[in-house]
Amino acid sequence: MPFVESILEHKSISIIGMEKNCGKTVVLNYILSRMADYKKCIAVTSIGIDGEKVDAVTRTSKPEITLHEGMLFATSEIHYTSRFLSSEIIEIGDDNTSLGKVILSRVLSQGNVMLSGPSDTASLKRVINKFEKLGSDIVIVDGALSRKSLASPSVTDGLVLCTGAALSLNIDELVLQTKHTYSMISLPTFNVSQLVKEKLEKVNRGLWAIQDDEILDLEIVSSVGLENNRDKLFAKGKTIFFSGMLTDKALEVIMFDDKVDKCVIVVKDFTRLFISPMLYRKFILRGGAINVLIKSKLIAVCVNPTSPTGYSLNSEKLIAKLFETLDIPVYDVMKIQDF
Amino acid sequence: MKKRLKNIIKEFYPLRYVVDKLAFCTPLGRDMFFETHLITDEEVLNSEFDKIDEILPLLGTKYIQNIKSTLSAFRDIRSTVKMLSNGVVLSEVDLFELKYLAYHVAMLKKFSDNGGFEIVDITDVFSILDPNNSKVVNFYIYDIYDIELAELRKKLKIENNEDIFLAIKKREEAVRIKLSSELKPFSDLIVKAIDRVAEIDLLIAKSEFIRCYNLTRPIISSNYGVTKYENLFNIYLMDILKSKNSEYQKVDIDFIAAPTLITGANMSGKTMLLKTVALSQFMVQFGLFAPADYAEMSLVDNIFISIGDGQREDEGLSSFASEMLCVSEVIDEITKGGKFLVLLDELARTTSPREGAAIVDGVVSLLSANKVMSLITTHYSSLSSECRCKRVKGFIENRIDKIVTKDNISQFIDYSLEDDTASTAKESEAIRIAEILGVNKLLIDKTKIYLKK
Repeated sequence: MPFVESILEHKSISIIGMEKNCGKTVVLNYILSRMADYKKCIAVTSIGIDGEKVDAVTRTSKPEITLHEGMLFATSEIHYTSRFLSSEIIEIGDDNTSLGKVILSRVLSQGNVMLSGPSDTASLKRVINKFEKLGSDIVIVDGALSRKSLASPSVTDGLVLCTGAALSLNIDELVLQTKHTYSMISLPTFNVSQLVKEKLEKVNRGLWAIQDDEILDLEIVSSVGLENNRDKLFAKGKTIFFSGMLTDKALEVIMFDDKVDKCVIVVKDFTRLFISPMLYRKFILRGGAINVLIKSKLIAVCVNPTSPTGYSLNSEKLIAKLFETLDIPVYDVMKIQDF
Repeated sequence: MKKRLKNIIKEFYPLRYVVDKLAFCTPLGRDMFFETHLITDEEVLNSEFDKIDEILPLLGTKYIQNIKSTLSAFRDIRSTVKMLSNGVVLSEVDLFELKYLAYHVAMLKKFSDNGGFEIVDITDVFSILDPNNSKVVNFYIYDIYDIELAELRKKLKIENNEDIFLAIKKREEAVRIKLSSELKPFSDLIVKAIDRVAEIDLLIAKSEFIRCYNLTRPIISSNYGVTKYENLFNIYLMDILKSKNSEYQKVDIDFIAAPTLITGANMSGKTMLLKTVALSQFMVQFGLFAPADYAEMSLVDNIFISIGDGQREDEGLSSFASEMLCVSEVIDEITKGGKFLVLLDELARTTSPREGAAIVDGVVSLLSANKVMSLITTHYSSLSSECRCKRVKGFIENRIDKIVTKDNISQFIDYSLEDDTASTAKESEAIRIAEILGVNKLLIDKTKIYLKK
């Protein structure tokens, strides 16, 4: 079982979907059902506020997660109360989410639950640490890739990326976009002292220059105001930290400048990047680079060849093409039980 | 009506600064402190100080560390307890919170058994929520609570169907109703236990603060009007100066149940002196010690401060009008009787000198007649009322061996007080100080010509 075994080599993993209906929940349920054989203590949580029984956008059914006896899980108060399993409360998190407090508990008898968990990276880290203290062997995070979630799946050791026909019905386009996300996940970490790194992680607004381990304020509040502050951008060196997200628009502004050669843009992690493959390639060709503060390893890619509208892509062809392009294990979620 | 700490800190920033320096382990201790009134009873204050005196030598010991780490586990569940006492059926999460509270109260009791903190015993609450006597904090609706529930759960393990699950939910609800009514009679006791936790947190936070700033337990005099400080200091100002690597000069000051006029050159720290005295009085009467090496003081019912820089523009009042209204309020209060500390900064400075001096004379005579402990700073030298006068020594050109500039001028100022008699009287040195500050030379020269006329 290479898939599950490679997951077990990590202390924590996130399962992230490139789009809704990429089969994230199927993968999560598969992993959970298989874990039972390994006699490991599994803990699960989620970031973001997923969890409607029916997907509000596409009206397809959104299965709950099935948890087995002895597993640990963290979910918000609302979903804890409406759970369909019996469990004991072990601890209550300090932070409040829009769905109430985060409840940490242990499953007493198998059943279903909707997951929703900490809403920012720091709380996610705390929940993972608490699980480890409670004796978990692996923490699995139902991740989100969206502008709405402030919590980053990159704090886990490994990632499983879910992609599929929901993203595009054109295999080449699907492969291109997935490859782009893969290269974003694979971006190098920014080489800086631990102290500066910790400081940067806590910065929540503005653009900053980093020079000789010093963090200098560029007095640009966000990448939105970048266009009118182009003069300040490279005023303090060529290493720039974007505390929020980096968008196509911001990258275009940066490329106006002829100083773009050898410039390094640092973001917190790959989930802060909202840039198109084309523009990214241009930026690299001009001599720029993007680094991240926290990096996580991509373990595998899972594909759902069926789109929410019912159209199915050729699974073998898709998997072969993805594997050829990415060179990491690729699985079809609908056939995953066979692995 | 007596004001609470939370209201006073909105009006007097230095006290807010001090309160923010207290490191609480729980939001409970902090909230309790914010709700306290000025302590005006000598006995109450002394017993509060006695408790702090007991804790001070224990700071830094394993004993206090254990108490503190237990305290920091407490969560604010006052709203849950309120629901319980109002007869609301508690959720599983609420029940866990109660068990968690009782668990940590017991832990606190264990740690403080020989140390003297009195803890309210809520073991009964824990027992109700720990029917298997497993002594852990985890909670769920245990099988033992309800035979039917246990049967249903066994059935569910064999055949997993939704109907059984819904039946289980119903039984669980019945158990929650039963538990809530069993726990309801304990709600007052639980509130007491939480208050006790808050008190301990507050006492430790106060003691640590006192230790950190080297504060002194003041001697509380039962005679209103006796106040004597040696080396009084202002925590807020001292911290600011420390961050700028400047030195802070502590001062001695004493006053009685009568007005004391304080004069002195510009920039001699008269305003700051009033703020320092106010801050110290507040700190002591909120159960912190005094920021001085020696302090003897008497308790007051209220402290009035008028630092003349507050224009009430939103009410359409000039600085003169708002000051006069404030002073009027003070006179209203003192003529009703009671113990007060009145601190007035440069009274009536925004009007003509002749009328201004008359206003000061008027206020001083009323404060004097009512024997009110008060400090009034002023630049008016031609006052006719008789009262104690003190002068800040102020600017001394050759105090240190340096050339005086705008940036080092504070080093040339002696902030200590001396008796103000005809022999020590001198000009305000306003022009010399303006000169040092680098004020336009044309203006200085012109001023000097007018001064000579």
